[in-house]
Amino acid sequence: MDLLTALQMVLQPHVLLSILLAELFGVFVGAMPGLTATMATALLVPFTYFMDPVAGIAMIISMSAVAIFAGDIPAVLLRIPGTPASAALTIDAYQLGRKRPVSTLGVDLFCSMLGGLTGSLILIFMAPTLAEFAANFSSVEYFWLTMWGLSMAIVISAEDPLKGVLGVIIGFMMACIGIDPVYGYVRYTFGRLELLSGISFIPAMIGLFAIPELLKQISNPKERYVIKLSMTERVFELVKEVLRKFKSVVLRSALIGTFIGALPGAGADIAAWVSYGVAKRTSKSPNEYGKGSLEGVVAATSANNAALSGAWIPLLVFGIPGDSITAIALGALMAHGLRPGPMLFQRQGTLVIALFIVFILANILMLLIGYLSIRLSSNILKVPRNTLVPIIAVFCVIGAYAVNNSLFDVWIMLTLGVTGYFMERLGIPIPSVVLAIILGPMVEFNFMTTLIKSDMNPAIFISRPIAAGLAVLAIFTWVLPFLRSRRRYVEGDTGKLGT
Amino acid sequence: MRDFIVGIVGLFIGFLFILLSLDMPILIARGYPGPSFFPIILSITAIADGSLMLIKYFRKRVVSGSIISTNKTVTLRNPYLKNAVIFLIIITTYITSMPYLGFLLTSFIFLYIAQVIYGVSPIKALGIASGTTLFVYVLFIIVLKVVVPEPILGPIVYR
Repeated sequence: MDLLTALQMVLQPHVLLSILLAELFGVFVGAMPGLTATMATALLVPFTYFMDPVAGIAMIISMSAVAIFAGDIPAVLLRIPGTPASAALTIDAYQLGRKRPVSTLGVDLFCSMLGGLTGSLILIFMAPTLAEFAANFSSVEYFWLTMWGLSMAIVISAEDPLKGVLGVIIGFMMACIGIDPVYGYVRYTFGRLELLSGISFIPAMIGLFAIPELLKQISNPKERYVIKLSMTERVFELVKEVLRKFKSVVLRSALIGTFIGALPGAGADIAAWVSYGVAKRTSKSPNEYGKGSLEGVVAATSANNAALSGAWIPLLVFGIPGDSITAIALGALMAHGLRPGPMLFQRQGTLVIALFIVFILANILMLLIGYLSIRLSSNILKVPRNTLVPIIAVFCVIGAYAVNNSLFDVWIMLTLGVTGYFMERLGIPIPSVVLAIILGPMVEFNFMTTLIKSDMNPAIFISRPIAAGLAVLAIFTWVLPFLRSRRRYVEGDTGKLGT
Repeated sequence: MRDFIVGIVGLFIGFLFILLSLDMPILIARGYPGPSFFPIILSITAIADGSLMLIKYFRKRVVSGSIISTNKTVTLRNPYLKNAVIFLIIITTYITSMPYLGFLLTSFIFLYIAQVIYGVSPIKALGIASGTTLFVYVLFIIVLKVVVPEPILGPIVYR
C-alpha cells in the first residue's frame, strides 16, 4: 500500500518534469570543468524551496547522479575531469576514448547507470545495516582506509612505484599548505592570505590535468583530437563486451563505491580510485591498464555513481551526510520539515519509499539524457586543436576563478599546470599527486588525532579488529607493487648478465 | 636520465620542506606531535625516495655500463615545443592583464590572438572569439552570477 502511494507521489507530471530538467542541468554542470556537482546542488536548492518535498529532493538526486556521469565526458574526450569524481577516468577511459570516443562514453554511461542502480538497491535494502557498520569507524579505521585509498597511487604508477610515491609526497605537501587541521597553525603560506585555506582542489585539478594536455595538444595545432572519428560508431557497441566479461567488475565496483560513499567524508572521488586500483590488482590482464583497459573504465565509472547512493545511507539513517552533496541535501530536507534519522523511516515511511523510487528512476532516465549528451559532446572532437585549445583554456581560467572568485586560484592553476607538464615528462604520475591532494588532509588529521588520543602509543593503529584488517590490506597493497618492480628489475638484470 | 632528475627532485623538495618547517614545533607539550610532525615525516620520505631513485639510477649505470641504456632520455627540445612556449606566454599575458582590462575583454583578445597565431583565419577567429565570449558572459555572469574582474575604467557590460 505504501509502495503504491509512493509510486503515485513520484509519477506526477511535475515530479517527472523536475527530474528531467534537473538531469539536463546536471549534464551541463558536470561536463564543465570547474563546476562541480556540489556547486550545482547548492545552486539548485533555492529552487527546491518552492516545490513539494518529493519534487525538490528528486531534483537534487537526479541532478547529482547525472553530474557525476557528465563529469566523465570531458575526462574521456579531453583528459580534463569535469568533477573530482571523474579524475580516475583520465587514465584508461581517456586512452580508450582516443580510439573509440563514442562507445567509451557509452560504456561509461551504461556502467554509471548500473553502478547507480546497484547503489540504490543497496541503499534500499541494506541502509540501516551498512550505516551501523560505518558508525563503528574511528580515526584509526579512517586512517587505514585513506592509506588504502592512497595505495592506488602506487598501483596506477605502472612505470615505477618510487615515482608514484614521489607524486604522493608532492600532493601531500601541497595539502599541508594552509591552516593545519589539528592545531590551527598556519603553515607554508609565505604571508599570503589566499593560502590560509590551502590550495583549492578544483584549480589544482584543472591545472594538473588540463594544462599539460593543452600544452601537448597545441604543440601540433592543426591536427584534430581524433583524426579518424568513426561516424558509424554506436554508443552502446562495447556494452555487450562489458556484460560478457565484466559483470563481476561492475558488481564489485558498485559495492566498493556504495560502501565508501557511506563513510562520512569519503565520496565518489575516493570510491573511483579505490575501485580502479582493486580492479587493476585483481585483473587477469593488468598490463593493459594505462593503455585503455575497458575493465579499468568499468571499475572507475561504476564506483563513482554507486558512491552517490551510498552517501545517502548515513544521511537518511543517522542524519549524517556522507559527502558534500548530501550535506547540502540535508539542508534542503530540513527546509521541507524532514528530519533525517531512524524516525524518518517510521514517521514518513511513504516519503522514504518515494525517494528510493526516485533513485531508481533517475538512474534509468540518465540513460536517455546521457545518450543525447554523448551524441552532442563527441562532436567537439571534430574541432581542430587550434580552435578548441584556446576555448578550453578560457573555460579552465573561468572554472578555476569561479571557485573562490579569485585570480590567485587562476595563477595556482597555471603554475601547477606547468609543473604537471614537467612531472609528466619525468614519469611522475599526475593522478598520484591529485589523489594525495584529495586524501592528504584526511590522512594527516586521522594520523595525528589517533596518536594524540593514544598518548603517542603506535599500537593503537592495529588494536581494533577492523583497523587491523584494513592495516593488513593497506600495507599489502603498498608493498606489492614494490615487490613486483623488484622482481622485474632482478629478472632484467639476470637477463642482461646472461646474454 | 629521468631517474636521476626525479631523484634530485625528491632530495630537493625533502630538504626544502625541512627548511621551511624549522620555525614550527615538531613536538608540543607532553610529547604530542606538533604542526610540523607530519610534514617532517613527508620530507624524510621524500629524501629516502629520492636517494633510492639515485641508487637505482647508478646501479643501472654500473650494470649496463652506459648512462641512458635503460632510461628514456628527457627530450625537452622538440620541433613543436615552440608552440607550447608561445601558448604559455599568451595565457600568462591573458591572466596578467585581466585585472586591468577585465575578464570579458581579455578573454576575447586571448581567444582571437591564440587562434590567429595557430593558423585560424582572422574572420573565423573573430566569430569564434565573439561567440565563446558571449556564451561565457551569459553562463557565468548572467546565470551563475560569478563576479569576474572588471576593467579598471569600469564595467563594460550589464550584469
